[in-house]
Amino acid sequence: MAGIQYGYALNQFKVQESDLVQRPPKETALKIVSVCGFRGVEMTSDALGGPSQIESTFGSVHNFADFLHSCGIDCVCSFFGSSGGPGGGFGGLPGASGGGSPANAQERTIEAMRPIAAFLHDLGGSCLVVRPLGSYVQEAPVTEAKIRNAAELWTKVGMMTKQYGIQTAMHIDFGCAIHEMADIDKLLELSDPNFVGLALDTAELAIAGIDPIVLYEKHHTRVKHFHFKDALVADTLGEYKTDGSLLTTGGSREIERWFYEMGTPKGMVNFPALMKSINQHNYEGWIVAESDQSPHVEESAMLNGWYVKQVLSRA
Amino acid sequence: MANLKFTYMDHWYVPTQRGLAEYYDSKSCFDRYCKALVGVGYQGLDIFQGRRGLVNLFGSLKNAEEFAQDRGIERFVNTFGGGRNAHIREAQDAGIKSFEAGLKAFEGIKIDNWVVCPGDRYYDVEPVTDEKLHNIADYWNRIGKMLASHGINLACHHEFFTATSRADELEKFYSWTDPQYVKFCLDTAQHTIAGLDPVALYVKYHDRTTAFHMKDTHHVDKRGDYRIPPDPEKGAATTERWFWEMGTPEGLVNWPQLWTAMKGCKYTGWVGIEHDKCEMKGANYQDSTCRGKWYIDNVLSKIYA
Repeated sequence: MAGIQYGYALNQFKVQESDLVQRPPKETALKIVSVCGFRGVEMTSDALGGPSQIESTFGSVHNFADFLHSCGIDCVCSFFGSSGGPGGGFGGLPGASGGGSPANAQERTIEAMRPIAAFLHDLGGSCLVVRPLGSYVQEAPVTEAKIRNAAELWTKVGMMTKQYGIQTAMHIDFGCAIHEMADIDKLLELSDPNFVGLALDTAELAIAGIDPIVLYEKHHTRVKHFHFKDALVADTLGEYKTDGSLLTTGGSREIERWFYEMGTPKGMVNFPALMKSINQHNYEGWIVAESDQSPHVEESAMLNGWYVKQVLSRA
Repeated sequence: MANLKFTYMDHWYVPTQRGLAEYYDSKSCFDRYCKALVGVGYQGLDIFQGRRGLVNLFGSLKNAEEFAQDRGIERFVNTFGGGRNAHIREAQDAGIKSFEAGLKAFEGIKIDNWVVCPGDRYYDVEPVTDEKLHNIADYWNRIGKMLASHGINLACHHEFFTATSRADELEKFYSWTDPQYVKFCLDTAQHTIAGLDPVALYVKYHDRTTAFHMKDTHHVDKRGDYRIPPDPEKGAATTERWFWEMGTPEGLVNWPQLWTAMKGCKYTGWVGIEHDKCEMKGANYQDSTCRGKWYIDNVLSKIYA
């Protein structure tokens, strides 16, 4: 891959249960993403479904690729999944921390992700994005042993995905057990840089109180994928420790919407400065724009498209 | 260098915390309007002549245009509106003064076309006699000449429920107006609803075509809705939603044929795209705008761009 390419997270179009089920809304979502200037889409199991659902809906991955191309989308750039906590994520697979998991838990997780890696490979993708540990509420206390287990698991997953030409990248969200900069440092130190990297999500980090530019400068060699979105408020009360559903409950302040489009006034993320840093470090790969929690996904895609063309591409 | 540039004809609602808002309700709304359109590749804005909200917000249309330019819009291209009672000769002097006064709002900016609907609603004019059509033609000749002295084309578009929308009326109108002063704005859906072929009209009047309102429809008015008061565009019993974005499977406008005709006629310049009342039946402007522009970029641009 040469240079930076821009993609869009398709799960943003899955607001209601009936969204993205029939072919026409899938087509509409892809065309909106395309006309806003994004060439790839990031998928999740929650939105269009995983490999088996795509195969049953479209007949084959090849047919699905044709469908994407007919809508003006080049590829599925990435697939987002979550390890979840004990008993959660990727179809109820054991979590990454190792606590209480069966002995073969890691193997089960690796094998569960193999079809996704193959799927991504067939669709021209480059990155499997994973949540390295479950939520803080599920995993606490976050011990070095748990971080070591997670690092080991994702290294093994990365070894497997590399066979398919797919990079594995760990994504830190503001509810994740890996939450402090020191824990991120430890996770990266204990995982193999040849096989596993970081997916840097600007808004999630900002809400967690971590400056994404500081993190990128510190670990730029490990950053293999980006999620770009903004946020207006941080979790200054540290409620990720007590509220496992902070994303949707909004915590004691009842924050209705955590995430915003790039360029939103009073946004906490300094995207021009981050882009400058990204360019200085010659990043090559995907930047996926997101508009989680947007009440109006079409307008969000248009505004994010504007920001990419008018600001990021000129940074 | 592209042959065609795209300008967005003024219809939009911005989703806000207080519900849907007009794009000129606040600077924040106008900011999002401009960015959303630039985000999908629009370069120009067409604005309704009566958008006092923009003047109130920015002090002048010139200031509003600069605000839009800071967000990637090249310029305001056309305006639309004005002109009633053209069929009543006694009312014409007042109408001309009204246009002259309206021009002041555009001081300091360049507008290519002043688009008007030359005839009033059909039920207000009926019977549409030759005498009334002559009055209408004379009136717009005068307005067109006045606008031309300011470097602005008068471009007439013909809504399906107005006088001059029928085939014979169109023929007479363009025969009785001066090609130097009265130009044609092709409104694809309006002509289609009226039972006319917009591609044939474009080919016929291409040398007078200076503006476009490109939109589609799924229905032809076969029951005479055009004659029914008060507003057949919104209240026709037969048709809940008349207008659709370009590229819908049920659309009646033959877009590839039109693009081929534009290429054949060597048209270059601005093309106005309109999404009129597309918020009906649960749709929204953002969705229609994206899908319509996708169709232009991915299908029609292969014919002519």
